[in-house]
Amino acid sequence: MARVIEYIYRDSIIHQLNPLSKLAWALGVMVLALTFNDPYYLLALLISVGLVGLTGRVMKDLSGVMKGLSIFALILVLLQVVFYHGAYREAVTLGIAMGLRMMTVVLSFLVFLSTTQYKDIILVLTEKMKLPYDYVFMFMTSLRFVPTFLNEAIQVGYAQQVRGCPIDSGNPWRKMKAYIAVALPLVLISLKKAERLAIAMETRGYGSNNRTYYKEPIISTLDYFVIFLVVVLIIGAIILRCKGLGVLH
Amino acid sequence: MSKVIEIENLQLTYAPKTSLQRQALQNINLTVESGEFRAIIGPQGSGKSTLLQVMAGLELGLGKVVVDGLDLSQKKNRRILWQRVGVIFQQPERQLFEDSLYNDVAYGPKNMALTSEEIERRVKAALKKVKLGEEYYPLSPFKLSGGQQRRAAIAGILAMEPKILLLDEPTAGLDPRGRQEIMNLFTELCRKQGITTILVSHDMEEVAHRADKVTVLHKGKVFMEGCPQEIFARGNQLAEIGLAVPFASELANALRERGKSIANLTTLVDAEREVGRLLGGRSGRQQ
Ligand SMILES: Nc1ncnc2c1ncn2[C@@H]1O[C@H](COP(=O)(O)OP(=O)(O)OP(=O)(O)O)[C@@H](O)[C@H]1O
Ligand SMILES: [Mg+2]
Repeated sequence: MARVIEYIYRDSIIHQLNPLSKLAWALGVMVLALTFNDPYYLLALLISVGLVGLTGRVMKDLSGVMKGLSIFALILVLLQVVFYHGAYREAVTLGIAMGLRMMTVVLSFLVFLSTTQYKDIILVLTEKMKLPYDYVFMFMTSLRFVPTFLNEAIQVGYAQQVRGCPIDSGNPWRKMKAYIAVALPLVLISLKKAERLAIAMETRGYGSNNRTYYKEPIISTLDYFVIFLVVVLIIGAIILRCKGLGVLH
Repeated sequence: MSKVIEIENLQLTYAPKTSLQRQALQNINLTVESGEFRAIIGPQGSGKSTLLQVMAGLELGLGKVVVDGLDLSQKKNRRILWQRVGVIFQQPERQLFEDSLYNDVAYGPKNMALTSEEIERRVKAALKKVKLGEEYYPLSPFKLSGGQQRRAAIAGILAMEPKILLLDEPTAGLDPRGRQEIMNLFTELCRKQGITTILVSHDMEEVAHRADKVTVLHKGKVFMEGCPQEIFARGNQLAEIGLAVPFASELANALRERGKSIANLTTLVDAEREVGRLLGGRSGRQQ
């Protein structure tokens, strides 16, 4: 569901970290996950990500998604077993590795997004990474509107349901028609919303002057430590990999 | 009289088991008689809209909810409910989705498998009732003004001729005369055709003049229930949860605090009579 990528307000060290170091961490996890394919190494990595999530006190909220992801991972394993040309054992190991890899990468980004506010991400991307503000803003705003959009879809569905158009009726043809009927007003409502957003932003001076920021994201000692750790881990992983550890052939 | 809506021990939680979990309704018991005009009032976020959505079979809570003999815990009952219950949502633009005003109003009747003459008759009658002329028929509902959208949404429901009307602030966004007209329309439907009406409103004068009975919600619970006279006599309690009372009730409550014996008032006509009595038999309106 849409709730997944929403910021969850909690008081934790992870929340206080600079978005940049969290982003570095998530990217680092991805590099590590792609470096190895030994299920034990990947499991260890997944557990470490889980521990970070626990420290950020968001694991309970993400548990629903994790359940879904595990089912998806299981299907990956099954697919490997069915379609892999080779030893059965090999197929299972490979499937498990793929499943774990996917879960690790997705979970690390979920932890990043649920512990970091959109506006801080925007701030870091534009101020520290020097990306153009307009594009970053556009991208982040459209992300922000996903839950709103889904909510809108539910409301339009309700409006049709009370006038005799049950979306959950069995017939797939009728179902399709009902979804199309929802889509049209949804697009209209969204266009209207976008127009209103643009006006609201302009009346509050968007794009009229140089931006200044109320909040400067501080880079604390802990942030330097996290970034340092990520770099060390990546270098360590590359060395291990060159020595042939953590990789199955 | 028979009961049309029966709610027992209703409980509803939004987004359960997440950080956004929110108990919108708890321990609600409510019965509405056939042909009754019931008002639901309460501060913002007290659960009024949620309660209406439960009655409309759109949200499913825990507890017993029976509407017009249909037990709403069963999916097949929720699915046929729309033929008997008309709902006006709080945001009218959410209710409109067809390409033209005419088609939008015809949407409900078309789903009822009526003849095309009957559909046309109902659509035209409904649009006439809400005072939207033929020049608006081909317009996209999204090109109408806020007040016109409200009228269009109402017409779309009236054209289905429901037995029960669930109205969520149906006059918000209308001008004073428009409010009067629309409320007169609903009152007439209730009194003359016996349509059971549930009205959510923030307009206390409206509630005082129209409702048989008032239910006050506060933080998802029933805070008070009774006829308007009883409810508005308890102005202090209502003020505590941020609600006001109609002018006449305020007057009566203030006079009573000064030791005058005066009946519970809700409307200006009553107030004029009572004040006249207090002034010693003289008529309230003097030259
Ligand atoms: N779809 C939803 N998801 C989560 N929470 C919701 C949802 N809809 C309503 N709520 C919450 O449930 C509570 C009751 O909302 P509801 O809309 O029923 O209030 P209301 O009495 O109609 O308020 P108002 O007078 O502002 O219309 C509110 O606290 C609201 O935040
Ligand atoms: Mg409401």
